[in-house]
Amino acid sequence: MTNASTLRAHRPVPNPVPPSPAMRFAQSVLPPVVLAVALLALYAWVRSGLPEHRIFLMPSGVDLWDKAFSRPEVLAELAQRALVTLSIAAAGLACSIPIGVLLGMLMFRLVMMERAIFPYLVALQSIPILAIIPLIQAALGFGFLPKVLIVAMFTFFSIPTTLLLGLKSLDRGVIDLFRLANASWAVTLWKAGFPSAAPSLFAGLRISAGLAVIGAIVSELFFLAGAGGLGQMLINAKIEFKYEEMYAALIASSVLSISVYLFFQFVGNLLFAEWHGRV
Amino acid sequence: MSAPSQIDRAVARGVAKVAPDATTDDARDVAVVFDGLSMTYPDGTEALRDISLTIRKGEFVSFIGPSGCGKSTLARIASGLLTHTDGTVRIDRDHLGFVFQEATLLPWRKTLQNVELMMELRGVPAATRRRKALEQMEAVGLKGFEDRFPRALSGGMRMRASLARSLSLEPSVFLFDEPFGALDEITREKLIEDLAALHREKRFTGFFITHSIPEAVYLSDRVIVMSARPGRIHSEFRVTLPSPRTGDMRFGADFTEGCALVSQSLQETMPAGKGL
Repeated sequence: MTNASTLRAHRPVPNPVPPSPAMRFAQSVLPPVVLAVALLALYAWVRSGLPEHRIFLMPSGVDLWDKAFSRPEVLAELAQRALVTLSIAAAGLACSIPIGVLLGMLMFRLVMMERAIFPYLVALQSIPILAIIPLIQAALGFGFLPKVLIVAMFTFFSIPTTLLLGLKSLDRGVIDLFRLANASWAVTLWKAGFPSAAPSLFAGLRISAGLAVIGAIVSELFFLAGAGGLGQMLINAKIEFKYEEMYAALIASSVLSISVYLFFQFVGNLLFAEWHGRV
Repeated sequence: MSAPSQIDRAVARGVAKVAPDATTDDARDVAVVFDGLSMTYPDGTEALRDISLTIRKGEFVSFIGPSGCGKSTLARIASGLLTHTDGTVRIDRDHLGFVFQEATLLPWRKTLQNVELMMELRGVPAATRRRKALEQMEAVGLKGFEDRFPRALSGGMRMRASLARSLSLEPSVFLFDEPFGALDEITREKLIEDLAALHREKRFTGFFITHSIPEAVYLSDRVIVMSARPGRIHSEFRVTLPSPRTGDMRFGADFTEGCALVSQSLQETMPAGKGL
């Protein structure tokens, strides 16, 4: 006030011009594309530094195309094996999801059950599943069932835990509301608990879905007999020194895993986009 | 620390102090009775002590008091959400409405389905509950918002939906636990006026918990001042302002004096010594 020289003029800043649709498209698409190009360049650079006798470890794009993806018989094998892997993953999820949901409900209903079960869920999660695969093989043989069990063990943990977390976060006021209407526990669970826990449960399902394909492929690495899936193809390609086919199987595995993840994401969005925003 | 007050009498023009526990003569007129009601929580906290009060049918009674005076506990006991540990409460719980401080709408249901919820849980047939829900949404001024999800409603509109949800049960006793506490002043005043109009029209018994003296005086036939921990009835006031009350009454001398009288009583309930 007293000293006018301390006043300083602050200039206005006009709003930035909003980016055009083309610009916005470029802004959303370019970053991952640029990163992909950079990673491919890194791959090429590392490959160029490899000695001659180790170059097979990193096949070139041309070889990958010539020896794997351009060949109908390789593509057919990939598709057929992907289907086997997918069926193992799906069967595993078909076991772990219902059992996990039931267990989550049970733990929500009875605190005693939560106290009894939860430590063992954590224990199951921390058991190195790979370490017990030989035991599973000894007990259940080499068929479809042991692989399904392995996938179920891989995917089980996140289902009851995320469901329980979601159910527990149900608004106390909503519970009061249902109590005022004399609603039974089952009605409260069905009309308030599940819808409220669904986003959390679906986050768990997405984690499980990603793990299911990994679990299926890992299980196959240990079971080389019979017509197996992508995991078996990985091992066979290594034994037969067909590294292009191994890379093809690797890419197919990733695509499969991402597809299963995206499927659950899609179903989740379909169910909850309206009221929860994007999951 | 008592601020000097201009009002040193028991009767202001808008509000009269009455003897606590004024019972009515006619038992048929009674909607809620608390008789020697006490509540001690399992942890030993004594929330309410020896509450005796009779509320007549169609009466609108507000409860005001410092936080921790057990007024919410009293409403939860009346509704049956909590059970008291001594004394008795008589109330018809089959025709009860309860509006919480939060609107507690289910975010995955559209507003209309939210308004239908309580009827749905009580087994009202689908066609009837649809018709009643639409009626009540219109009554609270939410016509046209049936298909909105709660997150697309403003705070005031959510509270209106919550009101409509309880109104659809045509409650004979309507409990309010600080329903407008979380709303801004302008929205709150409008909702208070609308609630007063709804009460005139439907004649339910109002059981209204609030922190706001003007809100209590504006809406009520009687204002109960409670003292803190354990919650007891400290004093009771009959509001003598003419009905129906109008918005501009809030700035009149009678109203202001009435509020001052209640405020003075509320001051007495505050523990002496340290101010807040």
